Amino acid sequence: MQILGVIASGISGNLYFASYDSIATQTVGGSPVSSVTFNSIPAGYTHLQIRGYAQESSDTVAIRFNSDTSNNYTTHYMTGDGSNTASGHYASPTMMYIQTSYGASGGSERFGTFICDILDYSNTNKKKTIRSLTGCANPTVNGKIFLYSGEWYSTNAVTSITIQGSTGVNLTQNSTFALYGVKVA
Amino acid sequence: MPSTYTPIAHNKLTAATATVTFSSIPATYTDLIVVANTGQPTSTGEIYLRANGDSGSNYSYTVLSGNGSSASSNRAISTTVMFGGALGINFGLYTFYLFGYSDSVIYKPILARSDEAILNTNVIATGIWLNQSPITSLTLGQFNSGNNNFMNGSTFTLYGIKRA
Repeated sequence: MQILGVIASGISGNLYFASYDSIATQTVGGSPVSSVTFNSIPAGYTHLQIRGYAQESSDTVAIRFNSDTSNNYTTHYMTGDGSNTASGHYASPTMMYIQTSYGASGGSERFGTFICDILDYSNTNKKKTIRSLTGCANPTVNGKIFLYSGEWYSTNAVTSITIQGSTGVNLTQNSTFALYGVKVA
Repeated sequence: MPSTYTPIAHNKLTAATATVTFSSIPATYTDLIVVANTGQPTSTGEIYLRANGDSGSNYSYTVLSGNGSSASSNRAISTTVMFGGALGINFGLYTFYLFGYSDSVIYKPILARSDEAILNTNVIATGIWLNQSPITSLTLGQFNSGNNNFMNGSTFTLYGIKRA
């Protein structure tokens, strides 16, 4: 049985959606890759969501839309590392951050993870906004948790999404990214 | 496109209960989501999640929380549970997101989010279950609690998401 939205046991205030469809998934195989891309994203949904877990030897996984590599993005964040909290922003980066990672301390079985929402992605009257909940819990030292938000300074419909390490390092084996389409009523 | 986000199981308590377990979870999905609308009958506490009945020191988590006035962060390593948020004498909303739960390669990463209006707490947490085994059961319970029961009327729903 498919649910009609996040019924969440009758809790008020939850999101309701008419469908939540799996569009495509990319999993990195035996050879690390610099990026993965979802192309030809259909326009028939209201929002997109990417759920994933990734590993790379730097620090952060990032996202670009429509192959735009210019300074057309912004990212804000709140974070905690088990001891301290912080908030900040990147004013004009060339990508938006969506996932924190173990970096060089990660093993082959440890992955950071994230849920990234891309809102109203095909509306050509809006600049596109995202939010991402992400974290990695380290078994021996402090983990990291981030709540990111970002904006792409373009009103173009999002038709492709590229995911990569923020410093250009490779995504390693078993990193997995699943793209979903969400329709509201 | 294959539609997904499917309810697997739902449990509405008809009496105060200490733990809720989803067992025999099918391996046919790729992610799991547990949504709980619950609270404490008489006191405060913290909600936890355990996988496959594992009560060993095989979990680690890091938390970012706010209480209406300030933010804080804490963590636990090599502990016996995955933390999900603070419980009060009120129905709060608690969500656990589990990724690649049927994968036999990765340690299982978990995200959690909760809101509790009486205690004014908003919590996000990241955790890991240090085990590569597929998850076949999930148990929710309480720790640091004055009363180890969940409120009568609490609801617990397990959803499965299957990626293409």
